[in-house]
Amino acid sequence: MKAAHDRAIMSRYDFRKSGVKVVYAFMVACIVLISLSMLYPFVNTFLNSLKSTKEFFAFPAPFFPSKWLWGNYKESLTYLKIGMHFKNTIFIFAGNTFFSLTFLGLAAFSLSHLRVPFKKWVTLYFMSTLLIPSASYLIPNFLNLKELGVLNSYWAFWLPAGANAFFLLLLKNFFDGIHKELFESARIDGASEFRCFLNIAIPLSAPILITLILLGFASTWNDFYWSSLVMQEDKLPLAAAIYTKIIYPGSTINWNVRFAILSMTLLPPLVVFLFFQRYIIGGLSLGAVKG
Amino acid sequence: MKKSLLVSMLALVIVIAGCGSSNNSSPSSSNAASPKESTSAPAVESSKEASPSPANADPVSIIAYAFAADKTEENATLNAKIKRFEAKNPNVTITPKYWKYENTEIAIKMASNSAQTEFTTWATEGKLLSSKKWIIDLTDNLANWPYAKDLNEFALAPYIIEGKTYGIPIDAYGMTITINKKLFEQKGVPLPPLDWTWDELIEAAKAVNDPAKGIAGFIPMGKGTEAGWNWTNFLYSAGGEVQTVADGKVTAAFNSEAGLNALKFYKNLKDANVIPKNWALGYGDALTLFNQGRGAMVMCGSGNALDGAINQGGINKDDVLLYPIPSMTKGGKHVGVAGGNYKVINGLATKEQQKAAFDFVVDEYFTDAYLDSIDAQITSQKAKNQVYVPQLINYWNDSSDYGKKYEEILAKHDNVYKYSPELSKLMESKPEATYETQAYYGEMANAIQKVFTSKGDLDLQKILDDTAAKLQKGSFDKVKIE
Amino acid sequence: MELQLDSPIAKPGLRRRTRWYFWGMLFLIPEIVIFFIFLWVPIFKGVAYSFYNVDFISGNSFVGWQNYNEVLSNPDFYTAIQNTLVYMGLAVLLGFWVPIAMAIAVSELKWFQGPARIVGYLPSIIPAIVLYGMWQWFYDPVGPINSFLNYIGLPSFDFYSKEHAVFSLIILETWQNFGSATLIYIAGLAAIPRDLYEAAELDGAGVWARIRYVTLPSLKGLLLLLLVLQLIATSQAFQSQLLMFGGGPDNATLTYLLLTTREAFTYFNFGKASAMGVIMFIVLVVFSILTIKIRKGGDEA
Repeated sequence: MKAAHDRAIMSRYDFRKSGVKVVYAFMVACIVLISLSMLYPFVNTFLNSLKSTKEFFAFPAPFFPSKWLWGNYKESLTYLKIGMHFKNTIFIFAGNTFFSLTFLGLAAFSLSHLRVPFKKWVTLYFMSTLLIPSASYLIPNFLNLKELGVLNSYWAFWLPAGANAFFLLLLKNFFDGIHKELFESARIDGASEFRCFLNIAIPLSAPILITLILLGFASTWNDFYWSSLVMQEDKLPLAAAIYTKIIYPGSTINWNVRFAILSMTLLPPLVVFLFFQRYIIGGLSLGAVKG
Repeated sequence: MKKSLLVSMLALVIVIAGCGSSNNSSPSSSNAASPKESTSAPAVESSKEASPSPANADPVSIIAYAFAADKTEENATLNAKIKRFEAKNPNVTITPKYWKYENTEIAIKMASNSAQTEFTTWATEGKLLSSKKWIIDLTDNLANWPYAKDLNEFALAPYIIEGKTYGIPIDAYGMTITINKKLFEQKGVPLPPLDWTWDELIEAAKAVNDPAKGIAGFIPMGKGTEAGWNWTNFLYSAGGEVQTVADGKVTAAFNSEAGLNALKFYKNLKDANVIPKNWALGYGDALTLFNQGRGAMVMCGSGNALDGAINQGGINKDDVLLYPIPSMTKGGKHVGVAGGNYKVINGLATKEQQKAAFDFVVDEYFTDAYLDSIDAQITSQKAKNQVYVPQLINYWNDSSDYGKKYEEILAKHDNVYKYSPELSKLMESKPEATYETQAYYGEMANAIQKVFTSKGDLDLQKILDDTAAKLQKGSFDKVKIE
Repeated sequence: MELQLDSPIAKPGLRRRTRWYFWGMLFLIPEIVIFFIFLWVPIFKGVAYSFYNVDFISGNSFVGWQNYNEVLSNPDFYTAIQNTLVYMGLAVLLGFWVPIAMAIAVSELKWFQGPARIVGYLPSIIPAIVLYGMWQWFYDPVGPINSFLNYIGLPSFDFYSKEHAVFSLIILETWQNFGSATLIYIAGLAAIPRDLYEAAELDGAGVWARIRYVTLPSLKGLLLLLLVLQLIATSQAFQSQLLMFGGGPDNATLTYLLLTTREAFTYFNFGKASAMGVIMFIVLVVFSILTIKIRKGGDEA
C-alpha cells in the first residue's frame, strides 16, 4: 500500500519544475474554492438554526447569530422522534445496500466473466430500463408494490433496490477491468465460480463498491417523496418524516427550529462519508491486477 | 444519474405543493388561523339533531383527517370530537390518520385508495376532484342537514358545480395586499390611502423602491401557477373575466380590454423597475422576500401573508397593514380573487362510510364546541406570544347569531388581529374560474414572464390573444359541460 | 471466454448446455426476476396507460391513439424537446469535464486528500429547500456574485433573464451533481497501476503527457459510460428547472420531463404523461441502436 501511494500522476521530481508548481497551486486554489462553496450551505444552515426568527429573516442577513440560541435544538426535538426515524433510514439503507450489491454484483459478474446465452439481449433487458423516465410509470409502480403487499414494509425498498441498471452498468464496467487470467488460474485450482466472485472480483472492486454504497446512502437519505408514500407514520424514514411533519407547506414551526432539525440531519451523512471515503482507493492493495 | 429520478420527484413535490397551496389560500395560514372542523368541547345538545343516531345499524369504520404533529391542539380537539361522535353513533369507528392534501400526492392516494374518508382541500380543486369523481356530490346529504341554509353562500360557491354541491366550506379568503409599514417610515414616505388606485400603488412602490439595496416596491409572484393567480386580481379589478360559459362551451375572456389594462399595469410595474429583478418568485419565495423586508407590498389571501410575517417572519404586528386590491380608477371597485378551504368526502369509500363521514364532518358545525376551540387556540397562541389572525370569511354568515358569538370571542382577547372595518367595506371578492383554472394560471404565467423579462415595447394584446388561443385549443375546447 | 476450449456447439445436448450456462444463469436469475417485477411490470402497465383514459373510480377506458395525438398537437411538446436538447448539449459541454478534472486534481493532492474526495459530493445530502434557497441568493441582483462583479467594476449579470436562465441552471446542476461522477472517476483512477506513470516518466513524458497518454486512455471505458449516463440523466432533468424557474421565463426552461410531470401531477392526465414516457423511450432506443450500428460500422471500416 505504501509503495502504491508514494506517487500518483506526478512524482516528487515534477515539483521541481516551476511551471508544474504554478499549475499545482492553481489547482489547489480551485479545490479550496470549490470546497468552500460546498461547505457554505452546511455552515449557513447550522448558523441559521441558532438565530432568532427576526434574525433569520433579517436582510442583509448577518452571517453569525448575535446570540446563539441553542434552545432551538431543544424545541426541535419536541416535534419529531428523530432517533426512531433515523433508525428506519438506516434499516432501509442497510437492506438496500445488501440486496442491491449482492444481486447486482452477481449479475454484473455473470455478464462480465461467465457464459450467458443471448448475452446481448440480456444486457439490453437491463440497460433499456434507463431510457424510460421513472416519472412516467410512477403510479403503476406504486400500485404494483401495493398488489405485492409490501407497502409499509422494508421489503418495498430492499427488493426494488436491486432493480438499478445504473449500478449494474458501473459494476460491470469495473468487473470488465479485471483480467480473466486471474479467474482462470483460480478455476484450475478448483475454485467454484462463487469463490471467484467472492474472493477475487469483490476485493478487487472495493473502490467502486464503496462508491456505490456512498451513492446509495445519499439517495436513501434524501428520498422523501417516494418513501412518504410507501411508509406510514412510525415506519417513515427521517427525510420523509421531516418533509411530512416539519417542512410541509403549511407548517407553523418556526424557521429557525426547522433549520435546527435540518442541521442535525446533515451530520450523520457527513460522518458516513468521511468514514467510507478512505476505502474508495484502499481496496487496491491486493495487487496491481492490470498491466 | 439514476438516483436523481427519485430525488427529483421530491423536488417536484416541493414546488408543485407550493403552487398548489398558494392558489388556495395558503394552507399555512389557514391552518394556523382556524381550528377548522376539528372542534372541541361538549355542548352536545345542538349537534344532536344534526346526526340522529341509528341504534342498531351495521358497523362502519371511517378515517378522519388528522393534523401534523406540530398541531397538538388541533389533534387533541379532533380526538375529543371523535370520542363524542362515537358515543352518539356506536356503530361508527373513526380512526384519525395524518396525510395532508397535496395535489402532487392525491393521485397516488386515490389510485391506491389510501386517502382519508373525509379530507380537507382547497377552492381550486373542486372542479378537478369532482370531474375525476374522487369526491362525492353532497347535495342530498346537505338537503337533510338542518344547518345547510346557514352556510355562507359566498364561501360555498366554488364547490357548487353545475348545480351540485361537492364540498363544505371551512373558511374562505379574499385577496389583499399586505404592506410593510416600516419600509415606508424608513424612507419617510406617506402611506397610500386605503381606497387606492393602480396609479397610487405604482407611486407608492416607486417611493419605497431601492434596487441598490435589493428592496422592491411591490412583489408580484411570477413563477408557477401562482403568477396567474396574482395577476387575476388585476384582471378582476379592471372588470374582466377569465372565461365565459354559454351553450355548454367555455370561451377564454381574459384577452379583453380589462385583460389588456391589467397586463399593461404589469408592464408599467416592470418599466418603473419596482419589482424584484428575480421574477422567478413562487408563493413561498415572495413571502420570504416580504418577511426579509426586501419588498414593501405583496399579494395574498386575506391575512395570510400578515399572519406569516407576524408569527413566523419576526415582523412586529404594528409594522404590517392590509390593503384591498386597488381599484383601476378612483372610486372604482376593489375586486380580488376569492378562495378557501373545504371538507370533501372520498369517492372511493362505501355509501355507508360516506354517509358516516358526512355526519362526522358536520357534527359540530354551528355548535359552541367549535367556538370554544377557537377560544382555546387564541389563548394558546397568546402563550406563544403569537397573534391570532382570523379568516375574513367563515362558513357561517357574519350577520347571523353564530357570527356574533364568534365576534364576541374574538373581542375577549388582545392578541387577535383586527381587520379595519373600512377594509372589509372596500373589499369585494370574486371566486376563481371554474374550468381548467390551473391550465389558465399556467399559461398566464408564461405571458407574465414575457412581460417581466423583455425589454422595450411589447404587443401586449397579441400576447394575450396568443395565450387565449392556445388555452382555448388546448384546454377550454375539451371541457365537457353536463 | 475465447480461451475456453470446449464450446456448446461442439458438444450438443440440453444437459450439456444447461451445465455450460449453469453459473452464468444462476447469478443472473435473481436480477432478471427483480427487474421484471419491479421495473418491467410497472413499465408495461405505464405503456398500457398511454392508450387509456385513466380513471380510478369508474375504471379506465380505452382511447386508442388519442393521448398521443394530444401530446403531439401541443406546441409546448416541441418547445420542451428543443429546450431539452439544448440543455443536454450545454450540460455536456460545460459540465462533463468538471468531474474528470476534479478527480485527477484530488488524486494529486498531498494533504487532505480524503476529505477532498467527498467534498464535491456534499450537495447531495443538502435538503432541497436549503439548496435552492442558497442559489436564489447567489443569483440575486444584490447577492454575492453580483456584488463581487460590481466590486471589480463589472456590470451585474442577470441570471434570471430568458437568455441566461439555462446557463444559470447548468452552473447550478454541475455544482450539485459533479460529485457523484467524481467519486466514480476517483475509483477508476485508483485502478490505474502506478508503474505505468513511473514508466512514462522514465520515458520522459511530462505531467500533461502522462494524463493524456496514460490516465485518460485507462479511463476510456468509464468516460464513455459516464457520458452516456450523463446524457440519459440530463435528458430526464426537470428538478432545478422546476424549482428555480418553474419552467420559465416563458417556457425557456421547460424540459421534456417537466412537461411530463406537469401533465401527470398538475393536470392528472396520466394517460398523456405515460404517452410522453413511451415516446421518449422509443426515440432513445432507436437512437441507441443507431449509435451502436454506426460505431460498429466505423470499427469494421
